[in-house]
Amino acid sequence: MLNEPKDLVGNVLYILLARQFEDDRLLSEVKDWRMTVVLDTDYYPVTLTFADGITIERGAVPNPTIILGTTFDTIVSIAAEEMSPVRGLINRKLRIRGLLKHPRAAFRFYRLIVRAMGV
Amino acid sequence: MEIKQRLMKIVGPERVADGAAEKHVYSYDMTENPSLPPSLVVMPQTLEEVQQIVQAANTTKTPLIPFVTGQSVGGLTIPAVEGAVIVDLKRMNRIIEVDEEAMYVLVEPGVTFGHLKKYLDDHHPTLRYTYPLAPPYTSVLANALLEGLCDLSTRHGAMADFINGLEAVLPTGEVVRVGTGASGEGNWFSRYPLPDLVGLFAGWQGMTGIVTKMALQLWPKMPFNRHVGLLCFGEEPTIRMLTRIARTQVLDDSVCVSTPLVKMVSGVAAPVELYDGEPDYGMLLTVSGNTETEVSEKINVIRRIVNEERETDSRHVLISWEGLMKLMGDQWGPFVDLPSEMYKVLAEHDGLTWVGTYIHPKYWKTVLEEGRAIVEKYGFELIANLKAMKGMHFGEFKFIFRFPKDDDTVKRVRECNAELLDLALSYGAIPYKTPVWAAKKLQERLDPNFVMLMRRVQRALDPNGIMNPGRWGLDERD
Repeated sequence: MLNEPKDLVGNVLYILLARQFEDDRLLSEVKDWRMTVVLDTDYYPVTLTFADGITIERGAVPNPTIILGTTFDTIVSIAAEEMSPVRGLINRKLRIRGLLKHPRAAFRFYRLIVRAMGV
Repeated sequence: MEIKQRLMKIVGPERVADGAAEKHVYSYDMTENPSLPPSLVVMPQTLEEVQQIVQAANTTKTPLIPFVTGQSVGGLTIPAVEGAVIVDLKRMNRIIEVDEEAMYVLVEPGVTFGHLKKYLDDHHPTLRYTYPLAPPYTSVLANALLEGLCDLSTRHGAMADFINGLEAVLPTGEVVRVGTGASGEGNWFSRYPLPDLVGLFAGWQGMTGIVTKMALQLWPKMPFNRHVGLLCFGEEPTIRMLTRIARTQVLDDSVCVSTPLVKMVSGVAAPVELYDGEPDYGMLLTVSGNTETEVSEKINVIRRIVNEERETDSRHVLISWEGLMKLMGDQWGPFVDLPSEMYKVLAEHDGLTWVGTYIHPKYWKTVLEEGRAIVEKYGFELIANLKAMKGMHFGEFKFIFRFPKDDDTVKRVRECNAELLDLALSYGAIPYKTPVWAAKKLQERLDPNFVMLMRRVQRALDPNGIMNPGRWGLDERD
């Protein structure tokens, strides 16, 4: 379902998502998703490819469904519950590209990552 | 009478072994240092037995090697000469006394970190000792004698600084006590203001006698503790931040490791690389206090320094421990209680080694930069480990190698370690837990009169040259 990436940001995503996939219902739901998301951080970009599971790879694929731009510091602030994801969006600490074109995909990923961060 | 018969008479035949299997087990450790089997192994249980073993060895001129678990990561218990007897002290494992008022513990050599931590947590919960990056089954006493580092080193220094005094059997068989414990039982409160004879044993790698008891400082367990992580980029900013934070004196401890080690603890499988864009280093910083406010203010001191550095590079990130565990895994939780947890990932292969050194702060960054280039040249995983020592009076650094013990890899490890040591020595760094090959390199750079003094002290204490001969490269007799 999930590969174990060897880079730092990819590994963080893996740890966050692996915890969630102990829930079989979520697991079977996510398996049906078909989209690519680039998490574009100030460290480096990471691509999540949803297709019968999730593949996490260092780097950005061309033409992803969604691009989520942020900094690692923002990810840490959200994880530590010092900043809510909504506040991050309002302050443009989180920037979503592809939202208008792929609102369903954006919403799905947002919901998954917010749940994974436990906030 | 042969030494074997003498030893069997002292401890009983069941505690003397010279089978091939036993000799093999004691012939090597996890390092790249060459193996050599002992002639036999003896396991005393009392001071009197140790004394009689030493007296017998003097009669037969038999080399003795004090041993507890052999985990020094310096090859320090591998026999350096033929015909040696391993004196395995792990049966001497009593915690003899905990003095709550003067805050010390009196232990025998076989007491381990895991044993002591549990004992204090169960019976003296307001006190704590200090714990190293070593397995929990290693010896508290041996670690202090070898002057290594621990999880209070940023505040208090090397482990030998925790020694209040000790009891030892001299190489000629007399039992001595040094420190205030020499004045009677229950009085091991300090090693001063007497002449500091702890120095006749600490750092000597068992060449000056067998230490049979040691009094070690305990510290109040503070009611409030907090840990933070810090991810940082580049050697210069990393060392600058670590140095600045340590000099504020708010830290109990600091551990700074290269990012591959952070990823290993987070579960990334070997081999682990450092990729472009990743932070170069991760730090664990520990503070404590009597109130939550005191702890919060200490964290604010750290945060202020990090924020100043972030004006130059905003990628440096300070992470609360809860946030770090959420993002990097629950396995980070136990690490703050017992640093041994990090050791698990270093035991990936059958080989593990490092040359650890203490260094002047002004050279810390340069050695780290140049050392990293050497490790990368040899193609090993980049596992750097640094600690600010004793309020930043000096720094510690080492490059750790976990490796499979095939001939080619061992050869490369030896070459890389030698190059790293040459680099460190060129900047005046001094290795700790020094294997013989490194001690010989060190001697070339030390004042000859210092080496002469070491040799003179060792010969005065051990006229027959029976105690762990070959260590420190001091065995050549005129």
